[in-house]
Amino acid sequence: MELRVNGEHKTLPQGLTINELLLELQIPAETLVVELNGTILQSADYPLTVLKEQDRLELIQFVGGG
Amino acid sequence: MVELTGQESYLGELYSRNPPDSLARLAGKTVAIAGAGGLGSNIAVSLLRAGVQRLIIADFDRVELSNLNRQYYFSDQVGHLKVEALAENLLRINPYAELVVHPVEITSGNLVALLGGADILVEAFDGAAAKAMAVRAWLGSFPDRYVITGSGLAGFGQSASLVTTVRGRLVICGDQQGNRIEELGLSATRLGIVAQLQANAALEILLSGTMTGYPG
Repeated sequence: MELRVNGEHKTLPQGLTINELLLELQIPAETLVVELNGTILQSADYPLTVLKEQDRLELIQFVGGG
Repeated sequence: MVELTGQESYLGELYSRNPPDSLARLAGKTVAIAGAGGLGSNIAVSLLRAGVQRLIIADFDRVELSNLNRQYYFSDQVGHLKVEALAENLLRINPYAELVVHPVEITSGNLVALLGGADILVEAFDGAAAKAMAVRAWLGSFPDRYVITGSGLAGFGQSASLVTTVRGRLVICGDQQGNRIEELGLSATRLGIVAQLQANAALEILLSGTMTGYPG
């Protein structure tokens, strides 16, 4: 399926969950905020949320320091 | 030493150079600041000076000497709880400020209960995971209320890389570049820019209701 991740077109296997996508991309979920079609997701939703064709996904990685 | 001649005249003079009508429009507005380190302490001072007189501030940590290169504390406050030291410093600027402080660690379990009384959350944690947690917890409970985060401020110089981006109700200030603090260190100058970007965004939201014209 085709979707947009951080503004770029990506082709990913059908039926992938957010959790599976993060594992595949090797992105640590702890320091990440996931926005799907304009809505910020809760971590508990990652294994339950199945990505669909044309979804717009933003993976916002936070950086330490304050 | 200025003689305190009553609340009305003190506040009138303190805020006489602020933008026109801003004080009246900020009356009754509350900002929560999660973390009172380099970002949080400087943000609190700027917001109070800008006329935000109701602040909720949370931090479990105590002042260390190594904090004084960038945080709004003084040598006689080393060892004190940061929230108590910061409240002291804020009240020296505006003795009528309404401050609520929580000397506790903010978690996904208590964030909404302790900070949810605010119109805006300013995230000022040190750790990346805590930053992400704050954004998820806040927008999960208050999808219509802004959260302003600081992300990426290590090193010195390169001011143009420190920018404000806006995605819905999430405002991110900083360079958003890697975990480089060990390598580059922390300077008051670059951290200060990010703190002021965050405080300026909070002021803009409180006064205009929105953040428009920023990259997403």
